[in-house]
Amino acid sequence: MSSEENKVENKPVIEKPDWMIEELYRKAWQIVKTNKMLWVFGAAIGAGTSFNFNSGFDKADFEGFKKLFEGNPQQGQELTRVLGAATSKADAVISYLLSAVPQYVWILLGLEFLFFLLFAIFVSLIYQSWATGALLENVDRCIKGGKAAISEASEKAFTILKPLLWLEIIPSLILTLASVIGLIIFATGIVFAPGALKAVFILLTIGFVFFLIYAWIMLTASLIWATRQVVMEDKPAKEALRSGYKIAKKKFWAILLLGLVNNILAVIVIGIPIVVLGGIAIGGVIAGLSLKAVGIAIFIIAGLLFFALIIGLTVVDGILNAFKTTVWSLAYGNIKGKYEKI
Amino acid sequence: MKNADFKIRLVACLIDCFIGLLFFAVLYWNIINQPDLPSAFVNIILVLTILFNPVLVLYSVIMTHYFGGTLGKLVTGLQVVAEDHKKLSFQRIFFRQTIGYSFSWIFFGLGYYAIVKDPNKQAWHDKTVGSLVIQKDNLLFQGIILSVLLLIASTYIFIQATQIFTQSPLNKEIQLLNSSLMPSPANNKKLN
Repeated sequence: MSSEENKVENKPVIEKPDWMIEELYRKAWQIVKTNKMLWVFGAAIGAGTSFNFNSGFDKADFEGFKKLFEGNPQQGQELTRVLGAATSKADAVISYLLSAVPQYVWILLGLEFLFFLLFAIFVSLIYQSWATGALLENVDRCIKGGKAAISEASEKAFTILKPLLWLEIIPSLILTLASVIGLIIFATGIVFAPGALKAVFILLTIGFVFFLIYAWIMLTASLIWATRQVVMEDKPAKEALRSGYKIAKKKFWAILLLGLVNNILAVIVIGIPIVVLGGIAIGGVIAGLSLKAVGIAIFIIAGLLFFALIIGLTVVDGILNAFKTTVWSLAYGNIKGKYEKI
Repeated sequence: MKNADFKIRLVACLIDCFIGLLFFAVLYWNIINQPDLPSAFVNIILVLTILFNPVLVLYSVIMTHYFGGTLGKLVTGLQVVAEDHKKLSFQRIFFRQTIGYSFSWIFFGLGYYAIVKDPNKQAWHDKTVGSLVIQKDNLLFQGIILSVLLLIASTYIFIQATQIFTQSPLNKEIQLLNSSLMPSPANNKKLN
């Protein structure tokens, strides 16, 4: 080997990244802007998720909201004292009314509620999987220069509904069960283990929690690629998940970064209008304490804007979901077949 | 047979809504006509068992599967079929009547408005499963008459039931119960 060839081989090789976020965003926006049908499927994904009792509404937010309406403890005691007699009477009336209903009717009603709940969960899972499949198919068509269409995308989604449902339910269910069982075992250990062993269990629990965080991130990342492989390459669910996991392992930091940027974008787009309107509403309340007329006026304006926001958010949520899906699909296009076999 | 347009499909939908309204009116009448509060409460619970009954929950799926449409569609001479005019499979009907309808509503009912613009007069829920709504007979006029009659009937029952309620022993019992539960100003003064 000549000395010149040696020089070339020793040169540090700077690998070109698989994707540039700026470029993905630019291309994705072009696609989403010109294919409005993608917005509809994006909104459908959002609707399916909220059907699925996973609307993203934080209970902590509600607790804070509730506190606004809580009086001081003395007021509460006074109210209880005044209403005390009435409350006990009301209890008596309610129990009297409840006892009037035959037991078999309660059993029937309970069974019907159970059926209704299971039915709602079943429908929401199908809705979610179908909408995901149809959106991914439409995005793929648009990336290839075609147009989004309901009929073709829906037909495609029907043919891959089973693997999509499998990916939607099974991996998350297994990881949830493993998380719950693990946490129960460690919690039992902390409570019942004697002396120094307790400290060991505490350390193990901390380690387990970190492992769970990593596992959930890995699962989410694996599913991003797995669903695309099911839709674009007709792969079976298990094979797609394995392959998705390989990509997620190899590109962990890049995926995490893109996911973070996507989520920050979502928080900005959805969060800012909510914060502005919340501010106006709170301003209305504060102004209303001193100047009733001004307070009411601001409150009405905030109410109307809030109504507009609900309508607007449906559209924005649809655009955002379609945009994020397109970004991931474009990224997948750049790494397709590159890491699965490693 | 031609594909049904937006007008007749709207009338069919209104008939379905007003049949539901009439059904509620009759249930309301039944509750109001109870002699006392416990009987009325038992009836409310029974109404809940009717409303959550699987047959009622799946009413539109069952009707479309066996008869080709809900009562509104049948009365107006409409039928849901596949794009090749054959019978639609149960799975597709189930999807159309549950997820499909929800999909059409997603952008403020834009999926229904698609019937006006689409050359095949398909709504989004039709496109998702490949269905068509065909017009076997032109019964638009009869449909309009029926929907108006149903609306009048249910409104009449609601008004009558509410008038009966104002003079019924049930109302007196509720007022008596209400007055005994609400703390009087005199009682409040004593407590303070």
